[in-house]
Order: sequence, then C-alpha cells, then structure tokens
Amino acid sequence: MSFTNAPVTRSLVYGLIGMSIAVSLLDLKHYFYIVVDLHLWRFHQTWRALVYQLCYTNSSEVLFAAMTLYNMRSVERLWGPRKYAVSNISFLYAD
Amino acid sequence: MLTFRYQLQTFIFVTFFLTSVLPPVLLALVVRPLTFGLFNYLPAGPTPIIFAILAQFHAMIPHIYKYRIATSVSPSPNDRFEGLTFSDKSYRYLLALQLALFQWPGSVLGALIGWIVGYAWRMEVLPRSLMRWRIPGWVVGIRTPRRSREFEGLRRRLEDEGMPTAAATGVQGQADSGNGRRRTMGQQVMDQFQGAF
Repeated sequence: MSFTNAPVTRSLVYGLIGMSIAVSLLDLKHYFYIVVDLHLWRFHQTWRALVYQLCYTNSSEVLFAAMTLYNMRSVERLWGPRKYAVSNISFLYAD
Repeated sequence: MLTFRYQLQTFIFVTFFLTSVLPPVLLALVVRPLTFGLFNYLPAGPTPIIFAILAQFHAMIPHIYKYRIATSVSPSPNDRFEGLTFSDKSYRYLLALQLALFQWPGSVLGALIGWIVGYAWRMEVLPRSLMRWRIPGWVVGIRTPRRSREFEGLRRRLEDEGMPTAAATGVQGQADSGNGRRRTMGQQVMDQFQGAF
C-alpha cells in the first residue's frame, strides 16, 4: 500500500526530501545545525532552535527518515476520520 | 469526529514547538556543562518529531507476527528457550535507531526527547491547554465557506423547492415568479460554475 489515506505523512515525506535537496543545492547547510558554544553563547543565534528541524544535511539520514515516516503512516490512518478507516478496510478486501 | 480530524497535524505542530525548545535548552544548560563540553553539537533534522511519532506507533499499533532467534542449540524441547524475540515492528525500530545514532551524540539526545514528548502526549501529562488546542483550519488548508455563499446556497434550494408548486398552480405561479427575485444573466452564469472553483 502506498500513501493512500495518509496525506499528512505524504506531505511530511515530500517536504522533508524537498527541503533537504533545496538546502544542499542552495548551499545553506550551515544554517541548520547548532553548535552550542559558537552559535548560542557567542553569537546568540536563538533562531536556530526554530529552524534546525526543517531538513537533514546528509543524504543517508534523509533516506532513513523518509523510510521511517513511510512506515509510520498507519498512525495517521488510525487517527484519521472514520470515513478513512472504512475505505481502508474496503481497500484491503479489494487488494 | 471534528476533534479527531486534525489530530496528527496538531500533534506534529505541538511536538515541533516542544522539540524546537527543549533539546537546545537542555543541551546548552544541562548536558553540555555535565559532560564538560563534549556534547556540544545538535545536528539538523526532524529526528525528535520522528521519534515522537514512533512513540505513538509503539503504543498504538500491535505487531502482526513474532519470531525468535535462538542463541544456543537446545538439545530437547523441554529446555528453557535462550534467544531473542523479534516482531514485524522490529525492522521499523531498527531504521529509527539508526537515525538516532547517525550523528552521535546530539541526535541521541533529540531522539530521546522526542520519544518522551510523544509518550507525554499519550499519557496526557502535557498541560491541558496544550492538549485541548487544535490547529486552525487555514494552516491545514481547510477553507470555511463564506457567510454570503452559505445564504446563497440556502436561497437557491428554497427557490428549487418552490418551483414545482408554482408550475402546478399555473397562472398564480407565473405571477409569483414575476414577483420573485430574478437572477441576472451574469449571476446565472456565475452560479453554474460556482461549484467548480
């Protein structure tokens, strides 16, 4: 099964991959991690706390994160509206 | 039903907020002084969010099958089993574990905090106002229909209901329709295509 009935997970995966590719293409990786003594204590760059979770700086991490998120999509199916659950069961029978 | 609809979005939003604040603060104020500057680096990436979702996964989803790997040859079936028990969920945890260990030790801290936040949400130990809060519709891309449009739909439905009786009574119906509100040509065209946008 693919991203059926899991639109949030799908946008998370696509967003993560897209952001990571964009950041490495635009050469912005140095904005996305935190070195405490340099960034926080010396330069007081507290905005890094809001930004650091937006992308990975490393292709293998992107791959593993995307695979893990893809596996977590059953959480969304359980939390989603009942309509989704019903269509999910019918999908299982049709498969 | 409505409270459940945005639950994952809300959860991710709250988790994002908590995990943007907690790991840097803890790292800077607690962990780094305790380890004399060894833990100094927090890698990029949503590892905390993924581990918060993983905690939900751990609590919600049952395993489908289990298997055991024996570490010693047991000569008779009556012996106590020695070995490891896995399930079909083990692969997923293995993937996530690798994610946590990629940029040791900062990523482990993030993963740990994410797992704790996920379970705190589950056990409802987070503040009540945070648990009650729901993500507003416009963030998720849900548009609420405008007031005027709602009334327009109601008016059109009323007119449709009035139409058959008007046809049945003949002359009076014509007089009524003459008195009734007329839509201009442009409005009729607009009404035709309104549903499409």
